[in-house]
This record gives sequence, structure tokens and C-alpha cells, in this order.
Amino acid sequence: MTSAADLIGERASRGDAHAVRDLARRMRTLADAADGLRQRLVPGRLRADWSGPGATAFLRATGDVPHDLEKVRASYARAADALTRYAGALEAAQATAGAASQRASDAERRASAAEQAAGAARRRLWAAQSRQLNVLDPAEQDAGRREAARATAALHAAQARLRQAHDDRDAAVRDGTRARDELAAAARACTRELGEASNAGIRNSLASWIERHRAAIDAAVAGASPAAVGKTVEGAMRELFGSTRPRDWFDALTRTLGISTGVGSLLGVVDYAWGIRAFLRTEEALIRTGIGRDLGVVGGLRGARGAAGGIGDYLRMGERTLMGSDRALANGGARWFTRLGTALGLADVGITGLDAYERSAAHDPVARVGGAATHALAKATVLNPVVGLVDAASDLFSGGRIRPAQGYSDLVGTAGDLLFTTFDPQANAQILDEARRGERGGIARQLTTNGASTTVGDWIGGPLWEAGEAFSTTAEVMMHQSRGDDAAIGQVGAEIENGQHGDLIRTIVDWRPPSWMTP
Amino acid sequence: MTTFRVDLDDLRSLARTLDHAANDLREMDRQRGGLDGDAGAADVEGAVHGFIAHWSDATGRIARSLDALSLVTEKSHDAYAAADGTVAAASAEGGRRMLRP
Repeated sequence: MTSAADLIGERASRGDAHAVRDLARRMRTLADAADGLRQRLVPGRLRADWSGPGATAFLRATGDVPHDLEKVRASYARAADALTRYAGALEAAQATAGAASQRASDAERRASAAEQAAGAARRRLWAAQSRQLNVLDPAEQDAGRREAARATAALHAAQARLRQAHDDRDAAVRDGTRARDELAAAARACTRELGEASNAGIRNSLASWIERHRAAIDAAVAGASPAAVGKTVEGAMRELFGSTRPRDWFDALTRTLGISTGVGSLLGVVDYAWGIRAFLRTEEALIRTGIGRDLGVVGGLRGARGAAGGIGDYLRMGERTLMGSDRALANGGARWFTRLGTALGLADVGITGLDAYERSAAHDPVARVGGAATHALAKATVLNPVVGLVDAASDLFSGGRIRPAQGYSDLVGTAGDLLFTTFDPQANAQILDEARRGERGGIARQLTTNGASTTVGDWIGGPLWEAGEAFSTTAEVMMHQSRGDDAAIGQVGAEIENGQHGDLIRTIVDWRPPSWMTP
Repeated sequence: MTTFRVDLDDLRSLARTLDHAANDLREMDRQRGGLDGDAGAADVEGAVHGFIAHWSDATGRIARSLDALSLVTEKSHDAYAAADGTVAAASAEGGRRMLRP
């Protein structure tokens, strides 16, 4: 017999519309309570009942609470509406499925009875036909013919009933299928609305999380423990998204920041604003650390050019990210959001690491200048300090043949892939192999072939140290250049060859364009 | 001159409302798994879970703010009530002294 579960699915048939409505009612109650409280905290209303310095101080203490209560009201009311509508659809689907199940079962019983009747009529027909053939008496033959005719009529009638029963069952199943489809559509709509209603919650969480997470990352990086960094990131993600599954984060981010705000426009705006802010801070850093005084006019111009170049790279990257978002969403994926989210996290860690580097170099004038410039350039490029460094170094040593924006994109993508395959050694090894083969861009290949391992910490810490060292060495050479001190430049060159300034700067200095690139 | 206007009953009512609202917010956070298996669709159950989880941090902070405001309101009520009582007692005492020959 066909059950309601067969028609709309086991889970849907067991769904409890009352429980859904009850939750919706509680959400509505909370929304109303938030609204009522918000209205009581409105200054004009409150002053009608309570005025004086105490009331004024109290109103000041309420801060953003009325605004937050309004967001609670709007989100919970919307969620309650979505659940109420879904409860109605669930109830209707279950009722339709229940009735269709009864009709289908009834039709199946009738079909079974018709089949039995048809079988009996068929046996009667065979017996009558056999009797006709096996008797010689014309009267008995005639009786056999009449019996065969009756059996044939009975068979046709049974077959007609069987067809009708099958038609009825098919119609009932179609009703059930339609109910299942309508319920699925209602579930999708409800899920979408709940997701949209979650947005304000995520944004509120994000705002407070960023503050708290910055201190935690600082502490983790200061401890130089990749495990601590990983644990901190994981804990923060669980707190923010209620899950440790990257897929859940991307779902939430995509839903919140991508689809609902028009394909990442919010991300774009925020990131551009961040870039501009970082650029302004770069100028401040350049002035504050006296880099112009130490390096002379040429050094100052080069620093500004590096910062502007970093911003330019970043803007180009931002445009590509936005365009990429369209494609990624069109393909049903969130790859660019994944990479952007990873990049933001890595940039945070990277900038904090450079802070630590700068602090550690505070007693060495040359390193201090290099550290400050590194820091400034890192902030200018925002998403990847390494790229800014390689950009500056490539200008000096390779005639600008390294393409930072592309290298950056590949590097961040690779870092993100490595981060999220930390617990999958096979996938992790494959990514590193691809990086070593150069399939993930020049920078990733340089870093990988220079000793990067499979851990996230090495990917974050190792390259940053190398990059910092490379940039401070570059700054040192520039300083000697501005003073015309060839002996000092030669000394630094010898140190680079000995590997005293790290592998990255040595690789860059040793790099020569292949013959096909030279005219 | 500083002026005061306080409806003590309303102030106490506000403190209670703040307290109730904080509790309602916390109670809603505890409903996170409230629909598990009941919604008839895994997507909807996941979305409800996600909705409450995404709001959890914000509602927690709002609830803590409401707790603090409730405490301030309650203490304000007590302080105004005490001040009113003190003024009343002082006035009664002053009145008795003025009536003595």
C-alpha cells in the first residue's frame, strides 16, 4: 500500500507543523518584546516618565541597545513569518499526501481485486474454450460458447476496472508528487528567508568577533605556534558561524555577503575602504618612521611608488575578485569568496606578524627602517604583504618582469587551499606538488621550492620572515645607493650570496631572465 | 536648577521588562536545536539552527546589556525611593519642630 511517506518522503511525513508554528510563535513573541522594549527606551518616551541627570545618564548608557533591538525585531519577525508560511505548506502537503495515500491505497485494493477477477475470468474462459473443443455434442458446444462469451465479458469488465484503478492510483500519486514538490519549494523559500534574516546576526557577530579575534591572533602569533593559530582560527570560526566546517562558513558568507547584497558588492566596498584606509596609514607610517629622512628623496619616492603600486595591485585584484564572484556564483560555487575570506584572515595574521617583526627589529636602525617600510607596504597592499615585497624587489632586480597581481592571486589561492586541506595530507601534498611544478604561479613555486612545508604555520611564518628579510635587505641596499657607498653595497651582496639574508632575496638576486625573454 | 521627574512604578516596570527581555533572548538561544527532526526538511532545520546560531553572539551581548540596564534601573528606583523617603521623613520631622511652642 502506498503511504504518505512514499509520496512526500519519510522526513516530510513525520514533520510536525505544530512544532514549527510554536517556534514561529516564540520568535514572534521575542520580536514583539524587542519592539516594545525598544519603544520604551526611545528618549522622548522615557523622558515622559523619568527626567533629570540620572535619566540622561541612563539614556547614554543604553547606547546601541535600541538599534540592536530593532535588528532583533526585524530579523526574528521575518524568521517567524517564514516559518509560519512553511508550517502552512507542511500541513497542506501532509494533508494532500494523506488523502492521496488513501486514494492510492484504495485504488491498489481495487486493482488487486480486479486482477483476481480477471484471473478467474481468464480461467473460466480457458475452461469454456477447452470444453468447446473437447465435446462433440452440439448442445454442449453451444453451452461452452455461451460460457466463453460470459467469461470474456467478465474478463473485459475486470480489465476495465483494473485500468480505472491504475488511473486512479496514478492520479493520487501525481497529487502526492505535486504536494512533495510544493513542499520542497516552500522549504527552499523558508531556508532562503531564514538565511537572509540571519544576515544582521552574522554582521553583528562579525563586528564583535573581529575585535576579539584580533587580540587572540596577536597572542597566537606572538607565541609563534601554528597549532595555536589554527586553534584560534577554528575557535573563532565556530563562534562566528556555529560550525567548524569550512563549507558552512562559505555557505554563510556566500549567502550573507554574496547573494543577498548583490554579488559581493558589500565585500568590495568594505575591502576598497580598507585599502584606502591602509593607504592613508601607509603615508602616516612613512612620515612617522622618518623613512624619507633616512633614505633621502629617492628612497621616499620609491617607498611611495611601492605603496601606490601595492594599492594599484590591490584594486586590480578587487576588480577581478568581484568579476570572479559573478562567475563563481553562476557556477554555484563560492571559490572566490573562499579565497577572499582566507586572504582576509591571512592578511590579518600577516600584518600582525610584521608588527612583531618590526618590534623585534626596533634596536637595529637599518632593520627598523626596513621593518617600518615593510609594515607600511604590507598595509598598503593589505591582502598580501609578500606581493608588495616581491613587487619592490622585482623592480630593483629583475626589471619588473614578475607580475605581482597574478602571483598574488595564485599565492593566496594556494595558501587558502593548503589551509583547508590541513587535515587531508593527500590533498595537501597534491597542492604542494602543483605549486612546485609552477602550476600555481611563480611566487608559490619560489616559496615552495625554498623549504615551505605542509603546515599552515610555515606558509604564514616562513614566507613572511623571508619577505621581511628580503625587504629590509633591499632597503639597506637602497640606503647605501643613496649615499653612493659601493663598498657597503658589495658587502651586502656578499652576505646575500652567503644566504645571510634568507633564501628569497638570494633567489631573486640570482634570477636571470631566460634567453627567450631577452631581445 | 536641576529638576527630577520620576514615576517609580514605571521605573520598576522598566527594570522588570529589561530583565524579562534578557531572559527571553537567552531562552531563544537555547532553542537552537528545537526543530531537529520536526520541520520535515533538513534544509529548514539547518536554516533555523543557523539563524539562531548566527544571532547567538549578538543576542548574548544584547542580553548582557539589558542585564546591566536592568540593574541600573533597579538601583535607580531604589535610590529615588530612598531619597523620597528621606525627604518625607525630614519634612515630617521639620513639621513637628515647627509646631512645637
